[in-house]
Amino acid sequence: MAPTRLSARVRRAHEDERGIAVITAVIVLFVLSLLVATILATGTHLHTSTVRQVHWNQALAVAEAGLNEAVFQLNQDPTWPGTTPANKPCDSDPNKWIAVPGGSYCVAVTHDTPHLGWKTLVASGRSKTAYGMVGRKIREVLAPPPSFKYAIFSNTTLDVGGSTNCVVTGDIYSVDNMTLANSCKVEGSVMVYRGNLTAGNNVTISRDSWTGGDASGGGDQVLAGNVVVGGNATAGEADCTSAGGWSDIGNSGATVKGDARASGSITVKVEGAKNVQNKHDPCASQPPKVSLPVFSPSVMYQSGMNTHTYGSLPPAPYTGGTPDAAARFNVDKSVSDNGLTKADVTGFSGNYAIWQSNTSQSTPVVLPGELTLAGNTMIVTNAPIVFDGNNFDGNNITITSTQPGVIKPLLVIVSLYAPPGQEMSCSDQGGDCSIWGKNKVQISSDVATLFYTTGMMAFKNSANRGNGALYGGNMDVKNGFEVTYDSRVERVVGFGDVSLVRYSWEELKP
Amino acid sequence: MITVALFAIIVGATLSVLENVMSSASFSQQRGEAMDQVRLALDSMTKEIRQTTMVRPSTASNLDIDTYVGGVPTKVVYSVSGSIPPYILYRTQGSGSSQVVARLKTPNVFNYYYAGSQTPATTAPGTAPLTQIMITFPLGLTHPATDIVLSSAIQLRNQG
Repeated sequence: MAPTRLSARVRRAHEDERGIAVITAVIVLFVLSLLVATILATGTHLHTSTVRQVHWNQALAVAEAGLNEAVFQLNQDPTWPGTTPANKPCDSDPNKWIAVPGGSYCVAVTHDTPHLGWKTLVASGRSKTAYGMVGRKIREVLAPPPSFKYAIFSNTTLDVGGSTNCVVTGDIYSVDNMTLANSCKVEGSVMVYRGNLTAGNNVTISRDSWTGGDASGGGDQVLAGNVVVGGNATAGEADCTSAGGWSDIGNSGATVKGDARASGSITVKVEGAKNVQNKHDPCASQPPKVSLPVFSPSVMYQSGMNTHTYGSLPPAPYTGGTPDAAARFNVDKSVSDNGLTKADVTGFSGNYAIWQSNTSQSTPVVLPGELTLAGNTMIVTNAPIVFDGNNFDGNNITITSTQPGVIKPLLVIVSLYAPPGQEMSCSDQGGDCSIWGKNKVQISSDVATLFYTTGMMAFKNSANRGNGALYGGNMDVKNGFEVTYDSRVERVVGFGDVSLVRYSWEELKP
Repeated sequence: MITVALFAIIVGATLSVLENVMSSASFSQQRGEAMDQVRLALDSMTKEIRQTTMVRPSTASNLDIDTYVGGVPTKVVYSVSGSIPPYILYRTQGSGSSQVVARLKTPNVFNYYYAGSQTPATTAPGTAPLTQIMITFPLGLTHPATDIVLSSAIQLRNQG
């Protein structure tokens, strides 16, 4: 009896399908769960990373909004300090943060950094997400526009000479005729916009030479024996007409290592392609005319310049002032005949404006025979400037840094003096010059110097040297000035059409 | 017997779905990883290229720039390597080189835009100021064979 009952129960158990639905449902649900979990995991990850990326980009846009706001504010007020002081970080203080759509920004402005008249802006942007705050930080440096790219620039004619130290490292530009004396060595290019280039024996120009003629003639390159042009030589036309005749490149003793191209004849030895046009074609490659950068004296009175003023700022064209301005500056800050010592001009720095009335050759600003700079120095005047070393050693004018190799100051010398009359009686021997080096001017390589005048610049003695640039309305450096172009003078506050332009943009760690 | 048969059918169908799900998940993961890698690469490259201060001679498959890395002026080169797909993009800084993106379907990933022109160029620098560099990454995925393309148009802040 017992076995029969057991068999029946086993058989019933095999025939009983109750519970199978649960097992099936569990399996199906398990698979569906896997499916949903996978989809959710992928979706969530994608969502998280997308949200973070959107806000990461938003934080940059917000930071840039801060920069734009800073530029706007600085145009209204050059002393605008930013939303936080430059020496205080953009921390959690909500007062330092300006809310904009997408987040908030904080901007710090450092004035006169890294150079005089420059501004450094640091903007932080942050954007809040469900997963936390995303932040980015950028730094923008605003600088004066690049105005000085040549080692020597003359707005009219240019006479460069000196058989022993006529070494110019950088490019030379003159609007009218240019003369390079025997053995001059130019490590750069030479451009004469509208006139002739006359190069004496053994002159070397490492790069290109370009000359342009116009209706009155010019445009010729008169190259003497053993002159070598390392690049291309082009004698074209500044005004694209042949009214003044074709432009030529001669003579037979000279060599052009690159291509030579002239609207007229070519008689030099040409190692590259020789291209005689007898038409206006070189005009097509004519570089645009470069003008003498314009200086705005009002920049001396922008906040932060802390300019020491002698006399009152006259209205343009800055011919007025006070009768004793130059004399007072000379007494106060130079080694004039009043017996100041070297100690008075040691550690010199700062900005000086000297506005002299009735300016003439006899009202000069006399710069000292020895000047040791402790920092950036800018001297601006409407009077003539004379470098006179007689008071110290009777010979040289030396300009150095108080800490050679450590302090590398920028020295800017500006004379807006315009000698009266059409012809300026200024030469290397002096006369009615705007800037005149009476004695040998020697500037250490620590100091980058810009000599600038709308009038005429001349230097008497040989062995002048310096790093920087010489820019004049007219120029006579036939006794030589060894110039090495220094890019530190490329952007100087007060020069150019616009006040400040972007110099660099970089992203920092937040 | 019927139950077992039904059970087998259901399990079979379920396993089929499971296989599809696993396959789909694998592709999804592959795509997700590729997208993550490329997004990261694009973000990082965009950040560096945006700060470019100088572009040396470059092509559609090679970008040689000076930029800022952590605020320090640095020379960086991006170059695509390989003669057949998949190509690999490498980043070189100093003596170190690292892989940035793999699975590229074409070596031509850089386009250059100059001021005054809407037409992209394949070389740099040009005569006009360079204003924008466009990066395009066409990636080839497998199982199933699929292409995805991500690109970034970068306005250069230190040029022009």
